[in-house]
Amino acid sequence: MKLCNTIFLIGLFCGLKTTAQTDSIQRLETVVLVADKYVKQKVTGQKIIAITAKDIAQNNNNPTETLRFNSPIAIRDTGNGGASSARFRGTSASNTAFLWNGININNFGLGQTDLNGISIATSDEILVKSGGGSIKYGSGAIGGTVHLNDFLYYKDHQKVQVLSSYGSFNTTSNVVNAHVGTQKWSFKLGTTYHQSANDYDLIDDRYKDKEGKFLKNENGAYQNYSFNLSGGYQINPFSTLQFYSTWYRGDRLFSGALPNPSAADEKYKDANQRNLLTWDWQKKHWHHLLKTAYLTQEYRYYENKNKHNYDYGNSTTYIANYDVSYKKNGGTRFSWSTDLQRIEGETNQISKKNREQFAVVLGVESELCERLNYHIELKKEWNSDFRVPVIASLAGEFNLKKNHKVLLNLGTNYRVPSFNDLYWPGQGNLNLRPETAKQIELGYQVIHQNLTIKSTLFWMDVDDKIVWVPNANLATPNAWSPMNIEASYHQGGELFLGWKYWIHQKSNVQLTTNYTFTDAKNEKTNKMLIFVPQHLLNAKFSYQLKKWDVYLQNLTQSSVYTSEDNLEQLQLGGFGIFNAGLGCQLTDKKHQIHLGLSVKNLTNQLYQFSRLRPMPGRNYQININYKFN
Amino acid sequence: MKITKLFLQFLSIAILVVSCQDDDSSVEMVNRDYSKGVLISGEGSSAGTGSISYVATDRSVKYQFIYLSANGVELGTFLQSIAFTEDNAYLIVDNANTVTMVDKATFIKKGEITTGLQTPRYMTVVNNNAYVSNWGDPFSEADDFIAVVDLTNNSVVKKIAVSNGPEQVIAKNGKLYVSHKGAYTYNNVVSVIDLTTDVVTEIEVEDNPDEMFFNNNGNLVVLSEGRLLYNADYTVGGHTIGAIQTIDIATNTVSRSVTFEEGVHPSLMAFSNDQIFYYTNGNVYKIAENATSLATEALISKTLSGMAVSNNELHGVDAGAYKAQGDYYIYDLDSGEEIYTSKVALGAAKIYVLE
Repeated sequence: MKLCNTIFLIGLFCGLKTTAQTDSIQRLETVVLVADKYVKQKVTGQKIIAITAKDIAQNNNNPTETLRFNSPIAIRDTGNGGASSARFRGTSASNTAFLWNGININNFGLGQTDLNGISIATSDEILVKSGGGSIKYGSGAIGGTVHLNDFLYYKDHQKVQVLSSYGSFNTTSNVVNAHVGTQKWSFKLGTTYHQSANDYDLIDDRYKDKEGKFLKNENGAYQNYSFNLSGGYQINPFSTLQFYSTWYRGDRLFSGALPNPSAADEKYKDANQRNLLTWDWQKKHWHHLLKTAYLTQEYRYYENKNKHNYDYGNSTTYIANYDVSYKKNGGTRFSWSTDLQRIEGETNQISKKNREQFAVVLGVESELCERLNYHIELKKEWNSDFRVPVIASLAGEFNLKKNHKVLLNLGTNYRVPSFNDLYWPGQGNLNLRPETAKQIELGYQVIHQNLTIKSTLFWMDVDDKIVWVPNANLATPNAWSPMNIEASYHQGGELFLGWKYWIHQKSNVQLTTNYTFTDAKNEKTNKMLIFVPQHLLNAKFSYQLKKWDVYLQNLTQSSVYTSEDNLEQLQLGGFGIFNAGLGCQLTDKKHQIHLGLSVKNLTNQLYQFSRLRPMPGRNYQININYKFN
Repeated sequence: MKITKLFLQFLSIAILVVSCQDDDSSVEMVNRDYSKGVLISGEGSSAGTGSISYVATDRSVKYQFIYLSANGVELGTFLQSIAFTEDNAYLIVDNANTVTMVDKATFIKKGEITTGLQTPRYMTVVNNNAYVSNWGDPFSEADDFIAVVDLTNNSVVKKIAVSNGPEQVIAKNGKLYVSHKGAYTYNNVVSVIDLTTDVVTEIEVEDNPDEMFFNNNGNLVVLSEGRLLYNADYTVGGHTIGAIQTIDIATNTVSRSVTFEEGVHPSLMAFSNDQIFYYTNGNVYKIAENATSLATEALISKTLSGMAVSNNELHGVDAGAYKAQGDYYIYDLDSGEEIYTSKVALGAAKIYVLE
């Protein structure tokens, strides 16, 4: 386990990977190439946690479930499998950026990512970074960012992972992730298929049918699949050419709410495609990274699934990016980055619109003394649609003593108006400004071999928030339009705790937990922001004895207000739910098979994230996680 | 074994946490009499489903969420309108395709209609039948209908096909009058349905007719909002005009039109004491029922989403952005002064003065 110790000290990587991914961490240091190295190597002063393949295997129904049980993000979905929005620290879904290999993939129309409209299970690494990061990750990186990264290994290798599960409501999740390569070449092929009838009982005693039975989650079925192909070639020891591509297609119905879920008949289809080509050149003091990307997104919304007419939208994004940095041995690193993007978008109601943006980022990073390093960055973006403010970030990390670290990060971030905000026919507002945010966070981390504590206190102020309000525009009476009219402040703390204890050689206990306290209020009214839980906790406790393991998982959320005037009657109650599982690991030299049985919502608790949309009651799943090389 | 103990401890704490959770499903149910006073229906939104507020005639008391208090359950979104009979109130929730029947006094649920409706909007009752306007699929202009409900068993007995977007319904002398606001698009007719033969006659009016009432001569007054015209690139290219039109119900022809300036889109209308009250863009105006031109000066300046006039008082509600409670105002029509204001149902839209 000594190796793990070293690895933990190297960077901002979360604990509890000791069993799950020791393997990949080792390689990471030598032969793994990641398109987005920045998040792990150069983000300074912020809290990052990793979601492991094992976490995904335990919560694999959809990305909402994966992140809800394993990250500090508060997620609100409109019923299981429905549209799902992620918020960090009480901000909104449009203040949460999703990055695929370092590329911002938030939806062009809404400026946010629907967590049930993406596939994350083939990612080799999922990192959840709390706090803003607009300098590197652009618009929407205000509350936090989620990074989905693919790895390419340069050594002789072949490894395959197959994850498959089947459970209640005819739900199945299937993932294949294969890596193969030599010291010169590397390939990765991944695919996912998720499907569910999702017709669970809405276990609210107050709403039953005439026979006294629970109503069903009607019109909630979904299915989606994705393919992922990446490859790379190591031209010489200091230069590599890589490409990444992924293709996703989703087809789902939007379920109905109580008291009459049978009224629902909406359908939503979406498809997206992402391609990225990178050229990495690193020699002596210089590091160059050239990236080009081509992304498309497309959706079709059917108000009535039985009819052929639909609303649609699509977008195409072209990105060219060049990063260069210079660092003398042990000295200061200077970096310069330019980013050029063109986004074309249209919907059935918005004729084709283009947005062009060009950004320059300057950075300085150095060790002030042996124990203190700092990182300063400055970004200016020119955008064809509006003025984007100059933003800056200052961060530092101080090693208090061995394994103890104090972190500081302060900076400004932004979120640009979405296409819908600007161009919605008759309602869009061309005079919108970007939302801006200021933040400070102070962290303390303890990273030991078997104990990881990552804590942070944050304060954030978001201004010029874009809100759709009625009667905003005299030219279109009675219509709703977006305006920059609200401001909010966010304060609180986050705690990650990972602990592993070896009882004896063949048995251990493990605890992983994320706790977030959030106080997020509207600056004008001083009322709590809606759908923001003050307390959010998830915890996983597991016990392993030889080849057997059991786990108990908890999600606790305090009540949330759903109305902006914080009416008591319009609260969604707090809850605590449990999942539990039993597993068995069969291993030989080349094969690792883990068989699992899970019971979700063990106590059959009624809980909901949206009004009148109960989540599933007690349900069961069997799963297999098979790895071979 | 130490670890077993630890595990059990964890489990017991966990169970404790669960059992200590507030159970929000227990609402204390109350039995009150709401048959006299003002009811305000709120459409609801993702912040909260449709709800109803009650304010007593003398404004001494106000109760919120009266359906929830009476029944312990929520209505669903969006509570579009309420229809009344002698004993019952019918709550029409369009997204839930539901009409809920409650006791008019207590608001305790007595029944519901959940089949045969699609995006129901308004309802009126003639003898023992209810007539409910339905958009059908709001994106389809060809599946709109009036559902005829037998109130003895609350079932839809037939559907009368009508043109796109039927909105408000009122009945007189065995005929049903339907304004066609046009759902998500537009329409420009008032349908007249003979309730014995189901024959539908259409009368052309200005675009997007919505509010209607019978004036003192027994003729039908209709408010048409007019609409925005979009260019091919969906920018606003122009407007069709709004109007207050009077229909002679003997001949089914428009006998008088008072039109608005281009770009002005009136959205609310009420009738009291020979006077027509109408609302456009933050102002309430008043004209005589036989006026041939519009008022020049506003009576009251206030943003409103619902309006009613009764006993020389104007009641108005403003739903705001549907994310918090709405505002309710009462104005004395003699002085033009605001005499009462209060917070009411989320998405406040309709005011029913019950006397």
